[in-house]
Amino acid sequence: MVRYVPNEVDVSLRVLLALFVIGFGVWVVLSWLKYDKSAVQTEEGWHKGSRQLIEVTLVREDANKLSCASNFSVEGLNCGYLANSQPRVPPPPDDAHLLRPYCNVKNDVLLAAGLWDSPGLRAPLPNERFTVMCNYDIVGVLKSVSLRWSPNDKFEPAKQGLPVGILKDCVIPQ
Amino acid sequence: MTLPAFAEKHVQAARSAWQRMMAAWASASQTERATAVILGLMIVGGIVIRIRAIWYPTTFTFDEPFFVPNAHNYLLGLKDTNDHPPLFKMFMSVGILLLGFNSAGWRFPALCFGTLSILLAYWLGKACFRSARAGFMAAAFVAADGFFISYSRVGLMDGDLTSLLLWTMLAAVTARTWRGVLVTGLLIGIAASVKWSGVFIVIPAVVTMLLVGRVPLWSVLILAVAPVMQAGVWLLALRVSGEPTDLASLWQLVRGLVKKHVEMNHDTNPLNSSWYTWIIFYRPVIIKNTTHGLHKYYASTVGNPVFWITLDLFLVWSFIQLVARATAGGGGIRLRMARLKNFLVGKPVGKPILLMLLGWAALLVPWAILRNKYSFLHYYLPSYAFALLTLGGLIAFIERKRPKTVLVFVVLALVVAIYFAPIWGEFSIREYAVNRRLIPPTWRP
Repeated sequence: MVRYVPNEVDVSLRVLLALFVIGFGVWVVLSWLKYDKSAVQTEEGWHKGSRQLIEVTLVREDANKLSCASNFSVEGLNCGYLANSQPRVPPPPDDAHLLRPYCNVKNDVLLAAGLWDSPGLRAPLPNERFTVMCNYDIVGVLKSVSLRWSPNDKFEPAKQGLPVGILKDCVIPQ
Repeated sequence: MTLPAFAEKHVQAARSAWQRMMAAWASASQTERATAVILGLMIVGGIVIRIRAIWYPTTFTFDEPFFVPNAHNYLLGLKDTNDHPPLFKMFMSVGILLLGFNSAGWRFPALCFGTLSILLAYWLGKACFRSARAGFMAAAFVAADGFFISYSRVGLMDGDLTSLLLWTMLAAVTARTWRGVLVTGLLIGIAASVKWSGVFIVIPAVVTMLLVGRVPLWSVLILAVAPVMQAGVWLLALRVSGEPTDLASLWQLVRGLVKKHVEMNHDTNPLNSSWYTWIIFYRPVIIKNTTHGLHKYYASTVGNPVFWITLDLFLVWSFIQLVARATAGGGGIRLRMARLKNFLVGKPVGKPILLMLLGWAALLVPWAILRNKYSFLHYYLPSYAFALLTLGGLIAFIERKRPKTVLVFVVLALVVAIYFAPIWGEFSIREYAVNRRLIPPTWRP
């Protein structure tokens, strides 16, 4: 067995070579993992006035659990609570004007009204977690908003602007 | 040397290293083999956690907004308005060029250098302690530590800087003539072109070259190439960004940035932490923090507690030993000094551990002097790399006499790493599970 002892310059050349090999390897692995499908902005193509087909994950109890708090109103749509966490007075007249936070299956958070009044959700809902496909009409963006995922939780400020819109034509995919 | 000859030499080196590894495996005891398997798992797992879903979140996180737009500016030929030297952002622009202007692109260099640090820990540990086992231990410890994992997954410069400083010390340990000193000087210049604090490596590099490589004293003057290298990098950056490239403009720019950094010392920030708290990870920062519904995705900078607690205990033990030897009754000052020297050059301390501890101290102490108000835990990352190298050498030494104790230690380190992995590598996790890991309130966001 011949023991190769690198000289003082070769050592750094070897590190440089290793850096290039690692860089190439990382590039190959990221390409294999299809980073370009995931690393793009998830909101790409989402703009005011657009309609997106989205799949929202829900449990039946979410109708009473999900809330948002903000002093601002977007196109007549309001959160059920004000920024100081007190209920809005008067409350939004119906579900079609009441904003709530939802997560789509890609884990994007959005604010939407109109889900629970959709004809597709009037039948008894599943006991387990289920998903709903809806058309999402984006009417604006809200940044000064806090979210609550359970009545027992505190409102947590959203870390970024969230799209605001109306969910229509919702159906539970079969 | 021609390229085929260079390649042939390195292929031969790799073959020879493989044969040595097989020979070491054949002669190892069952316990040592089990330890080697655990160390291997740490390295493989550490690399996987570094790379998985690195692009998440797809938006800017922590201080990325300060660097990413400026990296993009280099590709557009626009001015870099950031207050740090240019090289890190130029590395980032290479990532953006390769992968696009997205989160994978701007985190690409951090991942490459973060992975390179594992390899450098091996080479430096092996060269410094003259033991492949010590290098193996150091590499595994760097791979399975959350401080390094989190900084390999974010578009921030401290991981790149750490890697370059390990590289610099490797060059210093292997320097034997003026050529090695020149390479070390160039690397100091490159490290300082990422972040000025990289220049703190000069002291341990010089001491190492003089004590280990025994380079001629005059050759240390060659390190003056470091500022020349930095000026070269900066002028190149100015040229790429379409700015004036004369030395007077560069001097003006550097003076302005120095002034800005001095003024920043009067600023306050809720994430500030004093240098002496870094050793116990009093206030680690969550550098990636996203929430989707009830699910959290965290990249915490808290290190692997098994590593830093062990190292802290070793430092305390060493300090007590030093004090005890200095204050023990009997003998004059000469005898006391001899006792201290015996402790420092004897086992388990010895010259290699002293050199690694010097690297640790040299990259830590300046913050106590320069930035006592506006300082953050991530300043400790390069210093911590040398702490883990010290630990690697120490554990490899202990293994010779107590292999079973070391096996228990590495199993414990792996179990703790697996437990903490979700909050280092941004796994989907609920808040109650986060709080079970980030127990002290100062660890939480």
